[in-house]
Amino acid sequence: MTLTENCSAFLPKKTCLGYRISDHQGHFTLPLDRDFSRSAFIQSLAPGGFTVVGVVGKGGERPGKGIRIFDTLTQRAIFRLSHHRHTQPDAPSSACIRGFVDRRCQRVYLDLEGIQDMKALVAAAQHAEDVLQTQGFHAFLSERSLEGSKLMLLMFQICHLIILYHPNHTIDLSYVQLFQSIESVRTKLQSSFSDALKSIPNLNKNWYVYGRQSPPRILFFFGTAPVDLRGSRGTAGILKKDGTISKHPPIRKLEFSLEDQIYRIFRKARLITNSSNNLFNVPGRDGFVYVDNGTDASFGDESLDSINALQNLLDQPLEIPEVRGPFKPYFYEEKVQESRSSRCFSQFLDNHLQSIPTKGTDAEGNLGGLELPSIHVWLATVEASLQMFQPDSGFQIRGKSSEISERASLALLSYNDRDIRFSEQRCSKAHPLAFNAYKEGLPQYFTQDFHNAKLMQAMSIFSVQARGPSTSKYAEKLAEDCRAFWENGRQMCEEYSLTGNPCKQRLHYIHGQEPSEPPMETSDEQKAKVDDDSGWKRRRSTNKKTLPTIHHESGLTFVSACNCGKRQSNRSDPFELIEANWRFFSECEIECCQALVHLDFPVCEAKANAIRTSAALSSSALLDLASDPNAVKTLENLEIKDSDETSTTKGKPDLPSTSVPPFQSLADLAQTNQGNRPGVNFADPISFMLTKTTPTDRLPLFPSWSLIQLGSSHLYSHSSGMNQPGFLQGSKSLLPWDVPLKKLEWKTVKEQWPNLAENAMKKLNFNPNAIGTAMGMTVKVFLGFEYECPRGHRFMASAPGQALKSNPSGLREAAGKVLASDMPLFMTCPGRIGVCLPAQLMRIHVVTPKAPIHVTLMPEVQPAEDGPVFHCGWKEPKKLPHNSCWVLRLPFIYCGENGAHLPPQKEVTPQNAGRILKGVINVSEDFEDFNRGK
Amino acid sequence: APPPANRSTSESSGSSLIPEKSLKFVDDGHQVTDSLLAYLTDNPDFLVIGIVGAQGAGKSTLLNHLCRGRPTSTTNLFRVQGFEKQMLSEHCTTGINVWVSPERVIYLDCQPLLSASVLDRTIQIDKKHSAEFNTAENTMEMHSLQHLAFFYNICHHVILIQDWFADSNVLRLLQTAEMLKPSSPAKTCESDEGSNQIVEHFPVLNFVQNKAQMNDFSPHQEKKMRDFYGRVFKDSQLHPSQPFLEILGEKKDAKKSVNLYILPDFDLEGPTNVGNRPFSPEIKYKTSVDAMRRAILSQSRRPLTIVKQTERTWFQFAKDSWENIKNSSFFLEYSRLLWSNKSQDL
Repeated sequence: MTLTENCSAFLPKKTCLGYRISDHQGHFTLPLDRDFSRSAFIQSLAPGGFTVVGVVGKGGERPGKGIRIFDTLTQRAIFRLSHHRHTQPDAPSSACIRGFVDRRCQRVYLDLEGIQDMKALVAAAQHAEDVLQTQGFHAFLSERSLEGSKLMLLMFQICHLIILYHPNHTIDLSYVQLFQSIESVRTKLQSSFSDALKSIPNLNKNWYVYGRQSPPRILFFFGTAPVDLRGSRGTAGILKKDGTISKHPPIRKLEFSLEDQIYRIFRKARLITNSSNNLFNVPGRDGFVYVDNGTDASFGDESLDSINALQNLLDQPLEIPEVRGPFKPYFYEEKVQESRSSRCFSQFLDNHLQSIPTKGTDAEGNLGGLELPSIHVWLATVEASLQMFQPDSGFQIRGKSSEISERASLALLSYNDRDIRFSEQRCSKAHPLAFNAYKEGLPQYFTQDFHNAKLMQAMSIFSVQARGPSTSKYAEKLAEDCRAFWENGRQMCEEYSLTGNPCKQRLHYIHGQEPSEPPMETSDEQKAKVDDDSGWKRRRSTNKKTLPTIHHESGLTFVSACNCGKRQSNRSDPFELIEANWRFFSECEIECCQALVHLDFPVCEAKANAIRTSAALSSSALLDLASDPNAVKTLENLEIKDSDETSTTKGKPDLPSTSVPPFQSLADLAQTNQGNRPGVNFADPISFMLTKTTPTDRLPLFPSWSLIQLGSSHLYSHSSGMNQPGFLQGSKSLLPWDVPLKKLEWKTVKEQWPNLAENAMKKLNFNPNAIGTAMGMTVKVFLGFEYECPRGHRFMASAPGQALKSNPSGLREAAGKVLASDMPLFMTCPGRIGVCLPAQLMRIHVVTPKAPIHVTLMPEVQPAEDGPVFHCGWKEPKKLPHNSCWVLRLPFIYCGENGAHLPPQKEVTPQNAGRILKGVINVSEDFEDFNRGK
Repeated sequence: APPPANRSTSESSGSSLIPEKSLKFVDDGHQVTDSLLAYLTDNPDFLVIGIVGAQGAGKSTLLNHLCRGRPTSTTNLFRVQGFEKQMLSEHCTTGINVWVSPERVIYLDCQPLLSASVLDRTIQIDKKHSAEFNTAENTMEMHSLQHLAFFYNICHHVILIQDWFADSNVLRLLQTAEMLKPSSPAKTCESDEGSNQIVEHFPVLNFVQNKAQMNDFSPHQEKKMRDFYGRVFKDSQLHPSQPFLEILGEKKDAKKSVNLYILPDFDLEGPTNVGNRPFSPEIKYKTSVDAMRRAILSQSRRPLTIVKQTERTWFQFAKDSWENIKNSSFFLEYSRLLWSNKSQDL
């Protein structure tokens, strides 16, 4: 709310509906219309001095106070007519003073209309429904009552007598404070008012000194009497105890009491002092309170009630309320005869007006001596005083510093908006309390969820302390401040690792993903320094630039064995697939299994070379949480998804933007290295792993699998089991699998596989004359499904979901169960009781016999029910050479087109364990290379 | 009447004791008195109705009619302004008076809001309260606000009675009290870490247009008043309309309409009482009050606190609320703002 807005009410109003009130003999509205014709107006009036009588106060909804007082006084429908003719649908909230010049009585009647009048208030409330809804009644009232207060001040400057009207019979205490504010403003502006009048010649000296002619007298008019004092009950004599009739009737006694109360209260409030320059004077000699108890014949009429009721039923006021008929008309054109009762307000008023001393009684020009001004002069003073309220100068004083007027205006406002100021004050106290509560006990970096929880806590503290209309404004500020505080270096990266754990670092860039050129922010920064006092925003603008470039770090460390399984080392929680499934293992190989025989997997070969040579290995995904609110949302969605036990897929709709760029840039690099050779497979490498649904011409950049030959089959001793670290007690043996040789003839065996023949002959059921299975010749394949938990515990499975537990007696489990069924991808690690750590199927060990068979491998993994089936890219099962030990290392992370599959978050259940499809290991007797056995 | 020693704890209303006249609840020394406690039971099904309004608006008169169903001319439960007081424009109720009905409805009658008569008395007695909030008129206003905030905490229903339509200062005062109302004391001990939601109780607000003239009964005028109150209290937490109506299967358009009751001018002998009116004000007054009582008693009740309360725990709760309000810094802060207005000088 600005001063100009408030003053806009003082803009000249449009004349409405073609009816110009100023044309209607003696009617006018203050501030004056722009097309108000002064000369015509003055000419229509009689010369001579006029007394100015104004009415202020709370008009009831019907009829208005101007009608109630002046129309009855003059017995004419002046204000009533004016109301009906002069409705202002376009500006219902503005205050104005309606005036009428009564030539007969040489009086000017002024009616201050504004938000205090119910009629205007109801209309304004209707008009400003949105303000009421969003900002509340306090804001609505204070916004609209300032104009009324200013015009009220004007009334005290330009009236000789002011009637304070109240609809019922109690004193309205709100006037005490209102008058105090107006008085304080008036004293501040007094010199300004007198300055404004200097240009008008021939005024009484008082005008120049005090800015007004004299303090107006004030009378109090109460619209209704208490029930027991109405009508004749109020005027009947009271029988006193001594039998005499009391001198004054009850209604007079009520008036006396009210006068006493008013006098004491106003005196106490210093509105009545001994100074001659009060805001108003309370006439001491005559009574100054009039209570209408219904005996005044000129007030009220039953038939009028009926007419009004009828009008209301019609839902639309009649154009002219002049209703004539067999009943008594409400308004007489002539003055009615003297009322039957002695109580009559016009008489009461006349008495007061007559007691105002007129010109000549005081040559000294003291306040007591009043010169009744001509309309011409009076109008000039009114206009001069109104100048101070002109919209172009605001609440300004010409030729003076605006400081005083500013403060004066504020003082008026302060009465009107104390509720809003309280609210401001309260909220500004609550804000730091709540903000401190937010800042209390924060970790160095924290997540969005943590931020939200702390913000909620701060908000609840705020809501207990904050009050009133400013609450929402400050609540927004609090949320903004907390957010800024969080974003200013306390924000956690929150990028999720492929195992589903957030990065615990502060928000950062990762290598290769820094903004290429830091944006030039100097101008913004300077601007921020100027207009931002809190400093948060300024730092925020530089926030991006100062972000460190570091790796993601969830703080979790896993223990993992290398490709062959001989060495265990720590690995950090991977955020990239290449790190998870390839780089870690290749780095391990350097110190371990590098020299061993590797079987390759199909990859995008040319580009894979580039990767191996490129130094830019560390490039990673960029997920700038701060700059991309959608990303944060995505993460939130993710969490909901993660909590869902049946689906362990970590959806990553934004995967292309996170993972593809580095690969693409590497691909570009590779292409330039290759010099754009034609004929090379130019299909872009895929950034995820091969599944059954991947197009066959697409290949990954790097293998997620590894297959290594440890050496000859003699390396494995079934009595001691796998001689590798990390295996749990009794769980490191491979499972023997007796494979019958079906195709081989005894002759061939004897010639080419003497070791087999020797073994076979020891058996009881050996029948060298039979053929195929019946011959009873078997060979032993050893195999093991090795699971590894994040803490490096390793164990073999003896059956789906069951860890191998070889007892000391040497009873061996056979491989039948593990071959006949889908093995789960995850099992609960038996390494520690009471802790549910999911161990993942990481290796498949195979020891091929020295026999004419091929053991084949064809791993197919489905990590989630109904999820994609991952394979390693072989078109057909891979034949393993005989007489050797092999280790198939499975991927650490299964990341399909739609994102990485997370390990089971709590307990491993059959639903979330995933599976490796059965048939991973097979044998074939199509053995051609017979010479190898020799 | 001295409270009998063997107070019945039965929950049935029939055997409960009913005070013969209204009792002091908050005395003129601003203290809650225990006189009511003897009449309260452990009954959990009770209703608290408080009435507020300006001086002479008809608070005590309306309560008398609400309590008994019919005005008892001889003994009023709540003392009303007699001829003498009316003549001297003096208020009748000081502090807060209370009466509990056989239906276990606790009626609270408050001293007039922003009353000149109360102010005048403090000025004459002098310095009784003036030290509390700087000046007598500030103290007056702050006490009115405290009474309102107190009612907001402990009443299911608050009735605002006005004898003319409508005093913007009173409406404003109602909302200022809403703003200043400190959090209810029961809530703070109940709040647990889990729920951050703060549920503050606010009563249902009922508007009564007393001393209405014939015009005020027209549908047009009634709608105008309802609409106005609805707009003014749109942003407020007080409930000017009864939102439970829909559950009770009432008409949908009735849902949003403001609780407004129009009572005719109860003037039996006035000069306008010529007998040719379409209704007799006295009969109309009674039927209107009856309808109002039915409407208020039939409405479902918002719980005052999270914990279910009985009459007796309510009393303790009310006592705590009053102490809480008296000690609240909000009121002090607000009064300083009033004071600073006046001390502002060039």
